[in-house]
Amino acid sequence: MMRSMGRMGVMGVMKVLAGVVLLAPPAWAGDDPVRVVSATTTLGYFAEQIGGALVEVESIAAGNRDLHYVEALPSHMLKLRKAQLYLTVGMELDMWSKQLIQGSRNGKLRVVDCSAGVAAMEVPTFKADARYGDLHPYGNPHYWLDPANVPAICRNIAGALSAADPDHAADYNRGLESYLAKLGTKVAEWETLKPKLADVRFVAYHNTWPYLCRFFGCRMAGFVEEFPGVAPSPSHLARLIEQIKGESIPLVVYEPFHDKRVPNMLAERTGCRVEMIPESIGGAPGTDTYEGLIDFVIARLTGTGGGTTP
Amino acid sequence: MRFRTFTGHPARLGFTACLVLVLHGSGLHAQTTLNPDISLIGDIRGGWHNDSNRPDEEDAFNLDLHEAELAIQGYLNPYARADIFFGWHEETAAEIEELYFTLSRGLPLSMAVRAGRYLLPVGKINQTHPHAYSFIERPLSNLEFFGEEGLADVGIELSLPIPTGPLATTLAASVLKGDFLEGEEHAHALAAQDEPSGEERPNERAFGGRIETFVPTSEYGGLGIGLAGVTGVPHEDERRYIGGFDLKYRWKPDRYRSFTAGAEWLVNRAPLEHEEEENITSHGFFGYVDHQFRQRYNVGAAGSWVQSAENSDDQLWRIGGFAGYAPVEETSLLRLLVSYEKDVSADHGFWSAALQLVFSLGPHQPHMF
Repeated sequence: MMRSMGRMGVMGVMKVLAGVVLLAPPAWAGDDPVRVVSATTTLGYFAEQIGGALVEVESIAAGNRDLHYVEALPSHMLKLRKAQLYLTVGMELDMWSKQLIQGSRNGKLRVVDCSAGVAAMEVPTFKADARYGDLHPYGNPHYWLDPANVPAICRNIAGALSAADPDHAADYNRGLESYLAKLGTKVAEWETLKPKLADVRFVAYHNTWPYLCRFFGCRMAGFVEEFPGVAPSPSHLARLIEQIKGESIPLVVYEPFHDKRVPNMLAERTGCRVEMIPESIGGAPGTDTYEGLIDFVIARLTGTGGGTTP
Repeated sequence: MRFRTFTGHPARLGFTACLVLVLHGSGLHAQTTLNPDISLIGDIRGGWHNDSNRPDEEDAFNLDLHEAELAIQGYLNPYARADIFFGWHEETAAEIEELYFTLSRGLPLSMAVRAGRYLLPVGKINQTHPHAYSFIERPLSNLEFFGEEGLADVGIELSLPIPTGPLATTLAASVLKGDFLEGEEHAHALAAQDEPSGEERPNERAFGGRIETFVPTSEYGGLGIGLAGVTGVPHEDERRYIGGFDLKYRWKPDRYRSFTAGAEWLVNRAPLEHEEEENITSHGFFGYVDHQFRQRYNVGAAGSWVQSAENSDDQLWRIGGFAGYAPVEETSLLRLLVSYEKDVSADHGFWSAALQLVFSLGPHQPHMF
């Protein structure tokens, strides 16, 4: 009798659980917006610009996060479980995305590597093992900071949206063309600022800015990190202080997640200026759009304040 | 067929083959995308104690190659992956600590199936490999109920996410072979390819289950809550139950700072050896806090208490403080633990200290929250 009642109890629990599960609507049901999750706020912004009201976008890493180090939380996996598209940075920057994709258990998730079609800079021609720090074997992955790379990124996103939602493919193409036209106007404005930026030299905390420097002509004269992703040693900092003094480098740049005590110490010892510059949308006030982010970077590099184009 | 351990020629050949794979892989230009992730973790320890109950040890100071763990992990196809962990300890032979296949995408209702030998999800600590413990030593409760190597078995696990709004909730159920019921002596007998002593375990499967949920408290972390149990029949007409309840809070906004706190309560109900129809219920508790205050440094404290699995009046507790130094991420770690342990019934206590060096060679997958 007790055994029978026990079985009834288990069956009852199973029925309740099955009911709860079956009542949950699938992510792709009806004419709902396409659910997009992006690894970064910047990729999410591009998806919103292209998809408009046809997409619902969530980002994993906030704009002030270090994109190399994001802890894969079950709550992130839950977001991917409900998504149709996941936009990754690729080039082994967001390695944590692999854990999220695996943990999502979403067999219908389309994973979009937004670096596809982007010409990578600084691809190692040697065995890029751990002796060089966190060197990325497929090249420097901070490619979105070159405005000239944005069309390729956006085409990857538009193509994936069209594949996920073919009924609205024409809308996504229109959204793509519209955004690229808007960006083109801004790029023309930035082109006029290149002479002003061509003379800018700075020490970067991390090697984040080669793409941006390629576009604007500015130059990273050194790095706080002796090896990418590795905290600097005292001997390296001593050499860096000598370099800043010897070459009269006027600026040290760090990102919101970096330990600002080191740049501040460099400023104290050398008299150089220190600026916090985010690499992602939303990493600082006034950087809620890609255009605003690049404006912010220009303003900080040229020492003309933040958030508006000088 | 015995799955757990291998010590003879084929075993040594297998382990050597894996090492050759690692060495060969490291000599290549890079691990290609078709190769699995292969990593080796070394755990070297020095220790000291003033335990007067261990006079047979010639020197209270010791230095050990505590463990070497070889991990081979990767996707088999878009839907399934395989994870294999070989362990080598100074006191035991090389063994397969875990070897499992996971089908995690493509099943209805986002279900996942895991099959093979794996650490049973009773508490968070048991699922974590010891080199990842910031507190160095396995908690007394885990040692008493699960043994030195933790609670592992061959089985098939089905897990199912339960829709609970913003909470990530998962329900898992396992059918197990039941080897874990017989304890560590049995496992070591198998490792030595000896015939295990004592009566044979009835041919009955064991079962396990776990429900866990994750409550996000901020963008940077959250609280994990888990409830688990396993049961099986170690001897005719006798059943063993193990239950666990665990909490883990973690906050990690960046690579410079983190705060982790965890607590586990375990209960073990098992037949008393040589005493027919008599069971004994024992409890154990473990808690810790760990604060990373710089990129390279962390400090914390841990405490555990346990009743003996054979006599609940016998109790042990241990409390300690630890500190860690990680020059470069987690590829090389130095940890120090100073602890005091007391046997309450014998009114005997002693101090001990452990210094641990852990290095990680190759792409080792991080443990999940």
